[in-house]
Amino acid sequence: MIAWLRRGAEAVLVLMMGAMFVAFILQVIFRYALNLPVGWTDEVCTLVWLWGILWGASFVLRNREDIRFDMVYSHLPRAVRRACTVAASGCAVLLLLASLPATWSYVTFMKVESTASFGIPLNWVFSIYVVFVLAMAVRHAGIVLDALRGRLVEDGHRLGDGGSAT
Amino acid sequence: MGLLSPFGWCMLGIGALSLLGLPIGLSMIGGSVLYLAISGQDIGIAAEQLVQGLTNTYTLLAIPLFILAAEIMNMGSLSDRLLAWCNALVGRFRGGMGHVNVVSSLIFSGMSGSAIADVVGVGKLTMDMMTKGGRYTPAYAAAITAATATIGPIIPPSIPLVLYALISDTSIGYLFAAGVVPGLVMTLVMMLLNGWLAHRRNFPVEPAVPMREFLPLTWRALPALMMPVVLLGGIYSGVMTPTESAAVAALYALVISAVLYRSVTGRGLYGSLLNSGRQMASVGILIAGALVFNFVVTKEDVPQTVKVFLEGFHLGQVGFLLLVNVVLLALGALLEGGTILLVIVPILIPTAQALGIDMVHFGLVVTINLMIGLITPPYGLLLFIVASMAREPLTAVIREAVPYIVVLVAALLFLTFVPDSVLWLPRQLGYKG
Repeated sequence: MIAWLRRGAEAVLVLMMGAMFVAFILQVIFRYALNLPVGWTDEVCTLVWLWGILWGASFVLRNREDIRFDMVYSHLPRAVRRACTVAASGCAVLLLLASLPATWSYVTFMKVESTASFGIPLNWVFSIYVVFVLAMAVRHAGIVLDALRGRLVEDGHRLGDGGSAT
Repeated sequence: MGLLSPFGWCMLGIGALSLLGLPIGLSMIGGSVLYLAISGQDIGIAAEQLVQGLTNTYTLLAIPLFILAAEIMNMGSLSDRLLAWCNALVGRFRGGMGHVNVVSSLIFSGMSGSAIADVVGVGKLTMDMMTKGGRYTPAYAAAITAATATIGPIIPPSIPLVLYALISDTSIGYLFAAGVVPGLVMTLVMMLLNGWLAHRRNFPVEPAVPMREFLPLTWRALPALMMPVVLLGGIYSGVMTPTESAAVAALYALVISAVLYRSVTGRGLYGSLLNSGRQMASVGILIAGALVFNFVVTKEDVPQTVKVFLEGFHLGQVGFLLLVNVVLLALGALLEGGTILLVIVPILIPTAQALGIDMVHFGLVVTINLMIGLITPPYGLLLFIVASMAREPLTAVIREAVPYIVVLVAALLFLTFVPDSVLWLPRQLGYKG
């Protein structure tokens, strides 16, 4: 079930990337070949950038793919690492949940504005951030439980797996 | 800015959370939420900064598009064709495979914007070719592979330079142009070092490829060699934005791979799109965290405070740039490059501007520093990757990497203190700086 959902989430991300790629190509064709500048392609790309990142981070990325500073952490004894994980992920859950009411009121307030081309109300556009906050809170609550049971994020970690911007 | 001020708590929070192993992007979001809560501001500001900031930075879609273009190019026999061509070009000299390693990194860097991608792509192939039959020690092959991969994000396209363009408000086009000469300088010093070591240690020579085979090999590699022309031509002719060029380059790669190399499968394309999406999410969360944190930093006037503090030392341009080099080389050996670019560098930019340092030049200096950081112990990420690919102890790889670090630092110092070397090409293209 989980594997099936994950494949579904991946398929959604692939669709978004494909739509973004096609939108850019159309934008170039319309503007330079047909001399008909269009605005909606920009909007597709903006939506993919926002939704792709937050959707991907919520449902596609594995915990070990996150960019983290593990130079100190990775040299600690396993028991200490478990305690660190419980503390850090526990704090993250608390902070995320604490930010939820204000996040919710900001996002719902944005219904007063809409996107320029498709007229999508911004509360719908920005709702992915609420999803992200909830997904991260659930994920890190899971990490805390795993750590209490003795399983850590880096179990099964291979070198070069981790994300890096450069 | 006492330790127990809201900003003090924010820094403490981010530092503690990331030291305890929480992902850096999430640590920055968490620390900023803490800051907003303690200082009695609306916590919804974090959400606002993040979503509004992301919608304003969508030109960074160039990053997943560069990744996509390189992935599609690599689906086929592209790397083999490029390596055969490089071998025909420089294999005949002493230490030939080492030279092939340098030159193939240079060419590959015109297609990819990430050092990690270079090392696990073409780097792995050249490493295998070098160690086949025990001709080079695995440690040397690993070290030169890591060192040459640092050219990747200096020669355009470049993911760190796109990020720098965002934080410094500089043109991506001019930054890309400014990367060409430094990339060639780095290539040159590494080839000189490899040549010198080859004579001292009597590295093998590859059988010379006859001239009449050179043209067919060039022809076979040509579609790949043309990729940077497509990418940069679009930008510099003013026809396309850098992001659009990245999309067109990906389309070019797709057409080349499908029509000429016949290597595109539905499954392969799906995998490439998924992988570029994953990397977008991974970098994007870091950017999102930095957007929220930079709101706090700006609100607390940190860059201004740093500027006043640094001005107290009367460093001047040379002193400041030296300081930046030392600080970034040290940080680069400890922290991941994207984090430094998005968090530390914005704090230094007002001081650099006040000293009259050219922002394009500064961007290249910063990026070269970060790349050298990738091969500098203890935390040089590329060293870990090549050591695990070569199944060599890290210390053996580090020993072989040290001469390369030394010549790259020498190149960095030259490029730092002769800004004209970096700025010559952008000026030819109309940069007024």
